[in-house]
Amino acid sequence: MKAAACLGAIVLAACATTNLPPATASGFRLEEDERGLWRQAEQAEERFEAGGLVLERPELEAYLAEVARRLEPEAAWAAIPFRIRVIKNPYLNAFTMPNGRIYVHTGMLARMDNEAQLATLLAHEMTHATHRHAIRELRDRKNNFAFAVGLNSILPGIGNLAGLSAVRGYSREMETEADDHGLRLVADAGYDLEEAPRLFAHLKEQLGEEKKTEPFFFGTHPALDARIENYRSLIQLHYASRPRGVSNAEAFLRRTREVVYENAVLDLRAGRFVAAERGARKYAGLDPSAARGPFMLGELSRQRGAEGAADAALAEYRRAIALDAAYPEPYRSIGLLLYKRGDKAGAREAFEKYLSLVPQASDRAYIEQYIGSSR
Amino acid sequence: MIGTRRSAGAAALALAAGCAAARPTWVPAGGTYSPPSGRYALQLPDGWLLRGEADRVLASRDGVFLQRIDVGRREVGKSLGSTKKVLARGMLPQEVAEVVQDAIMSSPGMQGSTMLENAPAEIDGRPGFKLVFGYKDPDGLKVRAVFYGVLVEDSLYELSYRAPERHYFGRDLAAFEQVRASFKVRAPVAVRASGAE
Repeated sequence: MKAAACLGAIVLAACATTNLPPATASGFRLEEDERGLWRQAEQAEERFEAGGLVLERPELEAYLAEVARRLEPEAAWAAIPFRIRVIKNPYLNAFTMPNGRIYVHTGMLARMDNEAQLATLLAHEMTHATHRHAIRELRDRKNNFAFAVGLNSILPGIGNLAGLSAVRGYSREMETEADDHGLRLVADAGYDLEEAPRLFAHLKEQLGEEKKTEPFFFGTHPALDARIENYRSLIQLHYASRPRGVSNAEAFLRRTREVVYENAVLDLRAGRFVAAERGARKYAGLDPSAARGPFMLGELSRQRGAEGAADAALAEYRRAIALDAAYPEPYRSIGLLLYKRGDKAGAREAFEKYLSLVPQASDRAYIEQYIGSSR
Repeated sequence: MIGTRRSAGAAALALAAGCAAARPTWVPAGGTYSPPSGRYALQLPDGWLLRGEADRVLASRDGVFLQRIDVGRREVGKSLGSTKKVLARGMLPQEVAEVVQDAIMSSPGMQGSTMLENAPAEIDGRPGFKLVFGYKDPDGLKVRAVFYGVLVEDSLYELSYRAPERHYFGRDLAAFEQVRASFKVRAPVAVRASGAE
């Protein structure tokens, strides 16, 4: 009896409410522990900035903010100073800090097809912040820890397991809440809801390509299949009679075209050839007049080094030169391929053209060596 | 009897190498050093400390956060970690440099790093490459690094030096360049032993 009373006291003393109103409710004020989380978020933000991981593109950020503003009312922005930033990372991901900083990976932006998909992502992320998921989850974990400590004093070894499963359960609930509320925001902003599940279909495709069995997007998210199904059910249940809405594909692709290219470069560096090729082809389709598109396709072939790759690469390099004869990189790559094939005269001609276009090339010393040994 | 002694000696060496692999310790550097694999030899400066393990050597004077020299060997065809690209026999030094550069710049947190130099370099009289790059560590500290590499048959031999850009990098760069100049590729211990017999 005494032990039970003691346990009750421990649990009650340590528990803090996880039932917090959203930041959009009137009279919203940060709780003390929440203030600490915001400070930590600001420190994390400083580290991202210091490490050079953030893509500095003011026009792109302005566009992302413009889409975000269509989703949440002014009251939400007054409570949470949202800012959407882009991180140089080819993996499909996005995350939110409790203070409203939303980070979207270049991989995620490059993979999306239209503004409706972007709106789905941003609405989901903004809901994490407005619904104060970070502090709720932190308190939930602390409460479960307190509960586990109390339980361990009577039944050692069981408390931690009970606490762990509850924590995982709550995370899934919050993700589902972000999906449900986020979809409402997307609908209210007039976007095509059919695009929402397609965003997650992209994630599922990536998992297949990476041969990953666990969804890593947000770690504890509900499984992607269940999630796609949940979106479809929500659309059917609540929005079946709603007019289709807009997807704004053209505007989105125009604003994100450079990110598609830059992300393909990141994918190529990481040796993720399938993803890099998809990005390069998408970029080449978005800007057929840019020599960078076929050049990157050529680089993919050259670096993959499969059967017939050299000929395929040469064809792409020549296509790039046909688009822009003053673009230097294809000449260097042609030189490298011909040099390795033993076509010294052809290699020398390509290398000399390359150096004439970029006399200060960072790899000039290599090129001069090749030219010297091709005489 | 001799054979037995040899076996006992080899067993003792293997055991010692095993112990070193399990728990490498810092020992004073200075003079010629060859790692347990015997694949290469180099001169490390007096006053530094080193830790050797299999094919790798780590050396520092004031602690690894202030300056470190890493020397090691990788087999071609094996993963470089952060990139799925692999090295292959017969690659030109520039192609090897490209793969190493991609591995560096795809490492977690290194997407913001800057490549300052990529040039041919001679290592042990063989054609290799030199990369110089800068990055900021998670605390925002500016770090500069130099990476030399050379492909010899099925192995990439690599020597790198990194230190905070301010004060330390410049101070110990000359010591690292001397280490690089002293580097010699050697046949592995087992090959040399069987060759001698």
